[in-house]
Amino acid sequence: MIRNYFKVAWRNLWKNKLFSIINILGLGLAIPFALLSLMQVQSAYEYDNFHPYPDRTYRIITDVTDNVGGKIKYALSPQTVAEQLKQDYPSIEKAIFVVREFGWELNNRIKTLDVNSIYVEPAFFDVFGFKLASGTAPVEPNSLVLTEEKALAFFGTTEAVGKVLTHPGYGDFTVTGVLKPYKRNTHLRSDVMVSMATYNKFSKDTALTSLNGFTYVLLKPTANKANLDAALTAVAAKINTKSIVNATKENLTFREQAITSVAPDFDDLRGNSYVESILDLAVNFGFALALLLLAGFNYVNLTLARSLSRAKEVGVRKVAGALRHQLVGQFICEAVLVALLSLALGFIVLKLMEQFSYVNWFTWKVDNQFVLWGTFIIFSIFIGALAGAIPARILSRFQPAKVLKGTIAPSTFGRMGLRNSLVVIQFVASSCFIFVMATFYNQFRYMATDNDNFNRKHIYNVSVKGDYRLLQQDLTANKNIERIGLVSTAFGGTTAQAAIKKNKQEQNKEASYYAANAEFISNMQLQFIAGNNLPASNGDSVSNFVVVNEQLLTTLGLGTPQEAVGKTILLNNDREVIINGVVKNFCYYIYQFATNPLVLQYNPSQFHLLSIKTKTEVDDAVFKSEIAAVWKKYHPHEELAFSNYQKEMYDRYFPGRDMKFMGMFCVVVLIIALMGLLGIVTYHTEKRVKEIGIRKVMGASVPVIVKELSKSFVKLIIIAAGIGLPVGYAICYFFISLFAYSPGVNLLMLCILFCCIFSIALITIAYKAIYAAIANPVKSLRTE
Amino acid sequence: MLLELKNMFKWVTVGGNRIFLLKDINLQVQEGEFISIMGPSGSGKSTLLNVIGMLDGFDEGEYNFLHESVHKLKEKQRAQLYKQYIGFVFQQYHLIDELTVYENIETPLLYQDVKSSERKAMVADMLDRFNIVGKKDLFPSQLSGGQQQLVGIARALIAKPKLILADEPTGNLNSRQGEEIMELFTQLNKEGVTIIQVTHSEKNAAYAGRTIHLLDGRIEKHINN
Ligand SMILES: Nc1ncnc2c1ncn2[C@@H]1O[C@H](COP(=O)(O)OP(=O)(O)O)[C@@H](O)[C@H]1O
Ligand SMILES: [Mg+2]
Repeated sequence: MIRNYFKVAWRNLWKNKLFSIINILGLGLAIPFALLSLMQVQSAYEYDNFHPYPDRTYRIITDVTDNVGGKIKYALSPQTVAEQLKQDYPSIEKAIFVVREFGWELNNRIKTLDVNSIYVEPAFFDVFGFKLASGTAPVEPNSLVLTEEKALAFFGTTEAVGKVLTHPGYGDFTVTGVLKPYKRNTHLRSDVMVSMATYNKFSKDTALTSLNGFTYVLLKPTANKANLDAALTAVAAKINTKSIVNATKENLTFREQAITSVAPDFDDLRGNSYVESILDLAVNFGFALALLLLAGFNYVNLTLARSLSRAKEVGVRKVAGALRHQLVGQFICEAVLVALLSLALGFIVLKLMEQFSYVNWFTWKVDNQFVLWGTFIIFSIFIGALAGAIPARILSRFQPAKVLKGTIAPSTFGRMGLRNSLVVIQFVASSCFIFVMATFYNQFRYMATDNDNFNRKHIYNVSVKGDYRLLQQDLTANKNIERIGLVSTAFGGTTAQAAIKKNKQEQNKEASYYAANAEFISNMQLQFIAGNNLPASNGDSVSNFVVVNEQLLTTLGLGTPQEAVGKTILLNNDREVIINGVVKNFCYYIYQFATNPLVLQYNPSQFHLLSIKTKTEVDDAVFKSEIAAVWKKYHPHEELAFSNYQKEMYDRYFPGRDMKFMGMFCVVVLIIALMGLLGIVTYHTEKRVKEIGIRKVMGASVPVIVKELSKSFVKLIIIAAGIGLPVGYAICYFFISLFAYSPGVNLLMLCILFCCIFSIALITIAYKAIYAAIANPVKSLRTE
Repeated sequence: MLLELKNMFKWVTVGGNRIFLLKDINLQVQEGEFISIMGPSGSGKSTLLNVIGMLDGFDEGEYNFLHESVHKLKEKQRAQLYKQYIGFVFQQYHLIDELTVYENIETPLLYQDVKSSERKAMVADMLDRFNIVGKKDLFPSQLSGGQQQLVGIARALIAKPKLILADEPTGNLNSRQGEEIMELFTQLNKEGVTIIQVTHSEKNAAYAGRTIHLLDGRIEKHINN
């Protein structure tokens, strides 16, 4: 029976090639996105499956209950837990502590790279499946191991043992080993693994209950989970009694997680870096499903549109004794066949995507191919069954007595409403998708090219160490240079923090702090609303004058900008400084966040960057070589770290690959909608070939017929516009409001985009209508 | 007795008015009979045939088929009954365009869960009998009208029904092809198959044992040939 179903299905597909192509192509373009999210799900379950003792390695996580009973779940735990477990509980073979620290950058004097870092104990390498290709585990303070990839990036070779890397805050590090490449899908993912001794040396947060890192235990082979539970309860009790003495009112409880079930995260744990929560996966999958749904609409729509031609078959089969469920089965088989063919196409598209638009926040490979293909196929069958179910139910309902007599006209089905709404939904959805993507694009471009918040144009940054003065003086001779500013770090990256308050009696507030000179502020073209720039200075001592932003005045309650100028504030608890000028709020950090209070102060010991403004546009390479020549005089053994600020910011903010991926997603959505429209229009014009023939014979002109044929579809597209524009605007508005700094929703752009979508749809309709209208009437009448 | 209709009425309601399609039909059909139904276009012949074939319901009266009360059966049981005992032949042949001759004939067997080997034998038998073995892999569009109708009849006969219902089986055929079909029906009838056919041709009607004349949904007269 099933064979017979598939045979008929296959012949039907073959006979109606256009419809088959529309369906298979539509689904085939949508499926790769679904496959990709399925892979994310599978890879989440394949996280951390390469460690040597999967059945007795656990992570300890913490539930913190505060004094009013609120409970927060953390992936983290205090450092003492591992120490206590190790010392006092015989069932535990090893207990280790791992700390993840963000925002690390290392340099080898030539280049600086952001690195992803964790602190590890030597036993870490016994418990986990990270292997060293060369060297030894880091033990001493200021030692680390790094991945081959980073070794290559820093040194151009994987033979990095013994070399030195410098951290701006912690000083020089010795490379003691190089890691073998390891599977990316681990929550311990990192570029460098630094000795725990380093952490212990620099960490100031020694509070007993501070959740600083991750605790892992390796049970003895003879021990079981109950032993661990008992140990955890005992440790928690000890910590909680001590912390009551210390007057923290929080209560900690510890739980264990098998290392293999760390991901995906069902608990929505805090501090659970690099573990995807089940919610993220679901959102991801939701997008893919939405796309599939749109492609599924095409199937439903086209199958229903053709239902009349299938009606006879249904009648005959019923007369031959087919029961309704058997017919439903047959139609579902057809849809499943389409879905399986689409899967084949989709897989090819997926491979092409991997090739040409790799986005690295996706996982493109999984371990278990069997499970992967199993899920793919079951998923396709499921999608097929779902898409087939609606037409199957409707088609199998036909009464043989009626359809065989030919008394059922298309209008009798009363399904035009459903079909039309599907077309409208498709266009509304595609416009919304495209609007949102365009708005994001707009936002990213704004962030990448913005010169309103601070000036990036004609600015070159040169990293300096130690004494920069001679270099600075020498450079002023360069005729291209207009001004040389000095600053701790450039705007747009991480900021240093400072504590501020109005006077000694008050609580400290947090502010962003930049050591800068007057020239830097001029270079950045910050807008003063009161007071003046920092006083010009070349001295060695910290100045008592600061420039602040409006937000600082609001936070500290210093009144209007005019009133604030001349007032003093207390910086870092010890230094009274005078507000010399107030600048307008601007985004110097991350565009999502509202501005923090900002303090700019002349502080020569913290200057690490020359911010050079050129008079005009200069050639990067030429200018660099000029600077390098001067640099060589003072730093003969170090490479110049030089960047074009504008380009650097562009590269940081413009997610080219991601945008390409999103763009592709949009194009696919639009293609699916257009193909659906094409299919429906084709079907309707084909059905009216005879009518058109008669009308032409009676003297109707081509334009009249085209108008007649397109009328109802144009109406649908106009309805779609009526819904899509406002809904799309609202969605865009929501997304853009996630950014504190944005150019807003560009309504004009949305309108232009919609006109484009609208025209493409119109062309699709017109193409088919004109094609039908200019056909030779005699021919079409004869074939009837 | 094979089937019996008693005081049967069928109507549709259009704009609040009842339009009668069948009025007070009383009919008894014995096993092995050959009956023709005649009447002007729109007189309800097809409607009557569909009701007998259980493809259509009725509103009043009784219908007994092999001592089962059809009007009391559920849809599923009705389908079970007709797929076992009744074969249909249509004026427009109604073959499935996507299936070959062989597969078209095989279709009813698929829905009766006949085993594959048995199906093969039965279809082969039928192809042989109708002399269309050479055409078994052709599609309906590749056959002439007469050949298509032969396939249609073969399909109706494949499941060995007791009753063949034929709605103007020769309506789209030329007279020579028509005659062949009538010869075939006569032959089948001799083998014990009950046949009820709708026809417009006096000549074809005469092949049957008796003719029922319909007018405006009412049986006007019975004529024994
Ligand atoms: N569902 C229906 N609704 C309204 N009228 C119907 C319906 N079915 C059939 N009829 C009418 O009943 C009459 C009988 O139809 P039919 O049995 O097909 O006649 P014929 O004798 O030509 O086969 C016709 O006038 C037809 O228009
Ligand atoms: Mg009729």
